[in-house]
Amino acid sequence: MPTLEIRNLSARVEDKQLLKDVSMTVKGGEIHALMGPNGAGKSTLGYVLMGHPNYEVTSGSVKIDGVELIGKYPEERAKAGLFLAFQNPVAVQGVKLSSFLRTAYNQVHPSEKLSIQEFYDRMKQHMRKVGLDESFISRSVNDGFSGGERKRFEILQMVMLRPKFVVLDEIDSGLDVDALKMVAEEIKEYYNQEVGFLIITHYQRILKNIEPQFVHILMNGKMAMEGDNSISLRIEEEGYDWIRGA
Amino acid sequence: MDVDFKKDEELEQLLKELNNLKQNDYEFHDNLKPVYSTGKGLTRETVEEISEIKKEPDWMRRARLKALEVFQSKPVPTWGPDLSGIDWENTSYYNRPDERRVNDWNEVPDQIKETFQKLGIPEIEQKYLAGSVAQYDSEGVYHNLKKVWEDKGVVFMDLDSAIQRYPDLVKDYYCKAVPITDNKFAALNGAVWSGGSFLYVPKGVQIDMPLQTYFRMNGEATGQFEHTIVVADEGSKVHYVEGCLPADEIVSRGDTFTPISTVNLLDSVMTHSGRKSQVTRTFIHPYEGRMLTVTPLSMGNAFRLTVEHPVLAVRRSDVDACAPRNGKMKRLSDGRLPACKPDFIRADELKEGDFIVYVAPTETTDDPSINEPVLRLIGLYAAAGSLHTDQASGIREVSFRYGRPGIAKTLAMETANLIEFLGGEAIIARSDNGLTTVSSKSGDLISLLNDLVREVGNGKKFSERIMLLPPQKQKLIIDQYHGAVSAFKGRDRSLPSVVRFSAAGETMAFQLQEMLARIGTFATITPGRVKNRAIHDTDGGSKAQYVVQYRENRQFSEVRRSGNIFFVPIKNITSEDYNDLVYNLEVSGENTYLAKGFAVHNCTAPRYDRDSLHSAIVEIYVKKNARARYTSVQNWSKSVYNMPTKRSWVDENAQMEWVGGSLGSKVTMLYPSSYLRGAHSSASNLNIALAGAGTYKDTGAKALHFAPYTSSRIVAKSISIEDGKAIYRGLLRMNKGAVHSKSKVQCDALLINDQSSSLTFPHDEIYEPTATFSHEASVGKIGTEELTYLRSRGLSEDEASSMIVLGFLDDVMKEIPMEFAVEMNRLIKLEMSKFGAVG
Repeated sequence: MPTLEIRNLSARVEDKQLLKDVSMTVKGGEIHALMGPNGAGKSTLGYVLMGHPNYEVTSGSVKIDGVELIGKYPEERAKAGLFLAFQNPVAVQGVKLSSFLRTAYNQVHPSEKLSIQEFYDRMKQHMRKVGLDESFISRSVNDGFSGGERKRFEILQMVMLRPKFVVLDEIDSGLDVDALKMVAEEIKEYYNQEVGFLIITHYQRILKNIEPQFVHILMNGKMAMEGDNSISLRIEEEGYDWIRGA
Repeated sequence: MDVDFKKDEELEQLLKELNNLKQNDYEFHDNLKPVYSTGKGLTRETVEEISEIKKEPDWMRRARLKALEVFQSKPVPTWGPDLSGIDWENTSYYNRPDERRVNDWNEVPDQIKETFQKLGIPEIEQKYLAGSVAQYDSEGVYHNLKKVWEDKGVVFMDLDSAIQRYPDLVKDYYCKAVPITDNKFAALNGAVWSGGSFLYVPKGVQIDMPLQTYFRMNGEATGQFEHTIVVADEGSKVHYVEGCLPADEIVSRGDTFTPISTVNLLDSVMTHSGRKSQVTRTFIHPYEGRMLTVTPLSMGNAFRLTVEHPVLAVRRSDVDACAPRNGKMKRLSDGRLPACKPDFIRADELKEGDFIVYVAPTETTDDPSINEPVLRLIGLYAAAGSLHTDQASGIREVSFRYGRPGIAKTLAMETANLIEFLGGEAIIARSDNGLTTVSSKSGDLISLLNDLVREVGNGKKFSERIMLLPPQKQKLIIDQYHGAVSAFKGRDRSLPSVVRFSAAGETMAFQLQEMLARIGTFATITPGRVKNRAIHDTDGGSKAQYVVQYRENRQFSEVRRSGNIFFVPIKNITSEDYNDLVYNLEVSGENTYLAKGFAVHNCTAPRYDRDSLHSAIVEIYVKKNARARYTSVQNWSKSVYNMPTKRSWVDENAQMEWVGGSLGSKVTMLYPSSYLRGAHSSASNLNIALAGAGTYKDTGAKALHFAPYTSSRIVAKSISIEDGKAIYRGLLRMNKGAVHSKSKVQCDALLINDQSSSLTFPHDEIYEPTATFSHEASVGKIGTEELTYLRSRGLSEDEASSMIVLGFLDDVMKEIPMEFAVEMNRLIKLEMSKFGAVG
């Protein structure tokens, strides 16, 4: 079974320590939620996992199926099966969505020979499911996209690239109720025993659509609490103060 | 533009190989002495000699000498890049190209040749690019087009020839827009110019196809000091392309009949000669426009292509001309057609009834192990056989099913005999549904059949070993196949000589057609859907069917054969709007490939050069109501100082468009200018400059508004890599009286490394108060967030930065011709990768 193992991970930006000794194990078929108040370091964890160059890992390890990712380039992590749906995906002017995805696909799945037409067909099919109009194929990556469109595109990338471990960073922000439903459906359709999910979220909203088996609470860069979905339900009722008090 | 990802993959491969070559392999170190040269240095004698060799009229000789005086009196400009590296004394100012051709190619280092090959440039073009042939003669290919132009009064030839043939016309325009006193380099060109084109488009003539220097028919195509004059007379329209760009795209099948979208680099495809050749490049891009469907005799061979794609053809109206008979119009059946030499004709100039060319492959490789019994069994297997693997035991079994009472039994017996003759065991059984089945579990036999006939999609295909067999052996397969299938389809009662049967799938239909062509008969393919079960399809229901028809020992009406080619009349041509992907191939050698067996052409090339000082003049005259566009992609080797002077005169209500891409070279100074002389005239200038490591691009544009209501638009994009410097230098002048004129200037720079640099020197002279103008400038660096985002999806740093660079150029790429954009894209990626660009 695929395993993503985070052990005693600490990271900083310049002098600011943002993650302290974080550990967590996500296995194929599991859905984990990572919650916490603003500034707790949730997004930082996503960036660190992906290998963003602005974050320096000071100690710890991140392994997929026993293979160490720390010290590797983002593209190597992507090829190892990791995927991060960014909270605020950047626009890349002039880079066509279709050619970007196709190039990425060929990098991540070099042995799969998918003809352009097959690739297009598959992409169009998933675009319909996530609610992106076909005209987006020839648009620039995230350029002029609304917040919701960016999120839909992140999910499109996920289903097209077929990663083993998916980190969704605030995937529900910017999505209205209907859009959230569509995106959640696509995530659920992709979910299987071979894929592990880590859903980073401030609110419980997305978790109503996709129910996690495990909930982790991050506060001030540290794991403050871990348990089942009852934690997230209580957070919805009471916020985070009770954990602070705990 | 749309980044073309299929090509990206191929490029990736190519770039990996290129990276293994040393950087200076791109430069030419050619110590060869030309056979004829005026020697080094520049004197009055040199200039006199050049004029003498060219047998020029006296006015040209005097113009050259005058220019020499100006050249000698002007100092080297110091306001721009450092030009002290130009070695004036050791420059050869004239080499007679036709005498230097032959030897030079041998002197081109092998690695350069390899580089050309890796760039996917056909050999003839490689020689041209390396300077060893001064002319890339594509007369054969474009003969027809040329004739069309000439009939309209278009003059398109090298400037030397034009001076001999149309001295007065040339004299009217020579050095009028660019006077020799303009600058030192223009004066140098005036003194020693050689090569270049003269293009005159008469009043009202509109040429939709880009005219490319490669298609010019005679004389020197390029030179160190070429001089080009383009005159678009009143109301005319022309697009002049310096160099050659790939032709447009089609959907095609190679000899094994795979869709063009699945053809890869280095695959072999059949060319119009009937021989295989390697694919050196593949193209794919979205296309929005008219798409033609050309149907030759039968629907099955209908192929689609874009309007400008050249197709090998003979016009029906030319059949008389190429083989006249007593001046009398004869029926086509008298055999004149095979005497005609086909030419490449634009797809949208083809008419119904014209003849296109079906090519039968000529290569054969006999395989003695495939003997008569094997051939016959293959024929039966293709028609009625199938392979199964028993799920429980894993044992494989081949079975042949025959359905027609009477004949089924005979076929079954024959099959069993063949199996036993080939060392297998056969069981004949009759099933309840009336089928007679012959089956065998003989492993060797199954392996053999499986190797020679493959299952594909909804049908079968013969393996390459079968397709390469000599025609007489293939005939045996066809006879046996036909014998088995005709149990169902039979012969056409109304046309007894017509043999008709259904093929096991589309691929097999094309293969049978090809085999029949090798035997000497052109077969048609008619697709359709059938309700009844075909003999190889016992599942029933409706399925696609391909009916192959031919006439034994003769051709269908109006089809003519000449050796391995068949002239096939076009039954109809339809046109539709199209907005989807299109594909194209570049093939080494002949650079043609077969669309469902029919020959089409392709063309491409960037330009490299070996001389160290280049100073061209381009003069463009756009008369009242005319439109002219001038496109050039230049990619010089890294030792070149490139100092061209390009200028246009734009008259009333006329439009001038400059599209340029400047890559390579050591120093380039290039500012295409538009003199807006008539009211309501306009000019646009799109320029991309790539300053690679160690290079200096001082480029820009000039727009001078002399008349009211004129407008200009300048978009300049530059990319600096490593220590490359990109300078934008522009001039905008609004003369007094240029009332309500407008100008918009946009220059964007992208820096790839910390040490790359970019500067902007816009110079505005506004003397007209009602004129308006705007300047926008931006400088960007490749950002960490963008790079990380792309890399997090699996793209390498190089890929990600190439993508960002091409994205930066996208708004210009969108406006320029597709072919040009593809070429630029390719060259930029090459350049980026050569220098290991990083973010």
